[in-house]
Parts: sequence; structure tokens; C-alpha cells
Amino acid sequence: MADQDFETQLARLYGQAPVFRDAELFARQVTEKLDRGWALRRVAIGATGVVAGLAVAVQMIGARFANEFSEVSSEGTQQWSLALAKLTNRYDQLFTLGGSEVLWVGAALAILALGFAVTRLIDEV
Amino acid sequence: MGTERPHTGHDVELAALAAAGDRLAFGELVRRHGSAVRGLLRRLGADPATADDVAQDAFLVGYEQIADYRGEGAFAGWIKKTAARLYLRKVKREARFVLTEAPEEAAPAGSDGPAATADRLDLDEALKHLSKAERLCVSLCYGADWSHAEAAEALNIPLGTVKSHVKRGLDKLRVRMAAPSESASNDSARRENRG
Repeated sequence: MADQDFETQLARLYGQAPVFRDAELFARQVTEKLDRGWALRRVAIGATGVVAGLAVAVQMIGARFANEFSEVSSEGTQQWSLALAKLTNRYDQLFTLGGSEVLWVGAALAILALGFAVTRLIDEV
Repeated sequence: MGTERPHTGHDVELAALAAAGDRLAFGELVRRHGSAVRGLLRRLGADPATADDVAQDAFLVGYEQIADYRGEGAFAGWIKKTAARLYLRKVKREARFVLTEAPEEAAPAGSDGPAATADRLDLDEALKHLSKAERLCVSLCYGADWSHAEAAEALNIPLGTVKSHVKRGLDKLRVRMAAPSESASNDSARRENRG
């Protein structure tokens, strides 16, 4: 019985938290660490989104160039000058939306991704 | 995300808010239970700096795993168990000491013996007189509310060893924390025997 009493008393004493003068500081340090971790996570997610967006944009723009170059190689050197003229012609139309939709979309995505990155960075800083 | 109003709800409510991403609610839980966790780690044998580091880590882990806490028990108990687990992992990683069956050297007793301690109910003072293994086992079982089996598994030692560490530790604590009147009568009995 005495043993049980002592063990109950011991459990009660263990349950009483000691008083620390820096308790508030400790709590603040933990919440600051939580906030820092959360901010880092948001930056990481944002950076991943930016990289993915840029990759998509580069792929789309690259695909556009690849089409032009494959066309050039398939037609052979004899048609080189003709293709070059065609290519030049195409790029003259580069900034007309009807002729190069993919390029425009890619560029828009890249700008969006960069804009997102900049605003996120400003937000975090 | 968190609101700016101060949180005054029950721990279970705060934990639910924290699980939904409210870091302010979790901050309130840290304020409420930070000292208990830090105190437990010191009682387990951690030095103050280590205790604070592990306590911080325990709360960070607790925040990550807060969805696992569904209010079956007290939040304090849940977070203390997490802290104890982290501390044991740290102790084992650093191989600071090995728990053995043989009694270890405890802190030297005061020159006047147990009866000379002014505050006999000071648990922290009494714990200093236990060996590291006894202190760890007693504090895990009575402070972190672990069963002997859980302690044995976590410490990777036989159940019987944990039980004997706990028993020896309790015996020492009982003597150290004896009520003043009881100790005084023990003292006078000792004096009579000597005389």
C-alpha cells in the first residue's frame, strides 16, 4: 500500500512541470523554427514550380526550333538557301500570334513562371 | 493559416487546429507544455542544453505528426513520449553509456546522508542520486508513462533488467524523498543504535 502511495506521489511529481524563466523564449524559438521550416518549404515548392514551368516553356520553344532544323536537314544542302529563306520568313512572322502560337505560349509560360518566382521571393523576404 | 487571435481552447482543439495548419495554435501548445517536456528530458539525464535541443526537435516532430494525435490521451503525454523517444535515439547514437544489469556508480551522497537534505520532496535533487540507468528507467516509466516492456524494447535490454533498474531507483528515491518526520525518526533511531 505504501509502495503504491509512493508511486502515485512519484507520478504526480513527474507530472508537475518545473518552472523555467525562459519558457516564453523557448516557445518563441520553436515557433520561429516552425515558421522558418514552413517558409523554406514554400520556397522549395515555388522553385519546383518555376523550374517545371521553365522546363515546359523551353521544351515548347525547343520543339518549335527542332521542327525548323529537321525540315532544313531533310531537304538537304541543295535546298539550304531555300530553307534558310523559309526560316527567316517564319521568324519574320514570329511575333504574329497566328504563325507561332506555340512559341508565344511558351514565352508566356516562362514569363508567368518568372513572375511567380519573383513575387514569391519578395513575399518570403 | 493561423489567425491573430490568442488561442485559449482545450489541447485537443488546439491540436486539431494545428493539424489544419494553424501554427499559432501549435505555438500555444508549445507554451503550455514546453516546460514539462524540458523538465522530463532533464530528469531522464540530459544536460540542460541537450534537453532544450531535444525538446525543440520533439515539438517540431510533433507538429509534423500532429494528425496522429487524436485526443485519446493528454497532449502532454503524447509529446513527452515523442521527446523521450528522440532522446533515447540520441543517447544510443552517441553511445554515451550502456545499460547493464550491474548497478552503476551514482552521484555521491551528501555528507550528512539523506536526512540532511532540506527539501526532501525535491524529485530533481533525489534523481541525482540514482545511477544513469536507474534514472532513465524510472523517468521513462513514471515521467513519460512508458510501460516496462516499452522501455525494455526502446533500450534494447531485457525486461527483467528494466524492472530491476526501476526497483532499485524507486528504493533510492523512497529513501531520499522520505517525509521529514519519517527521516527524523530514522535519524534518532540511527543515533540510538550508535549510542
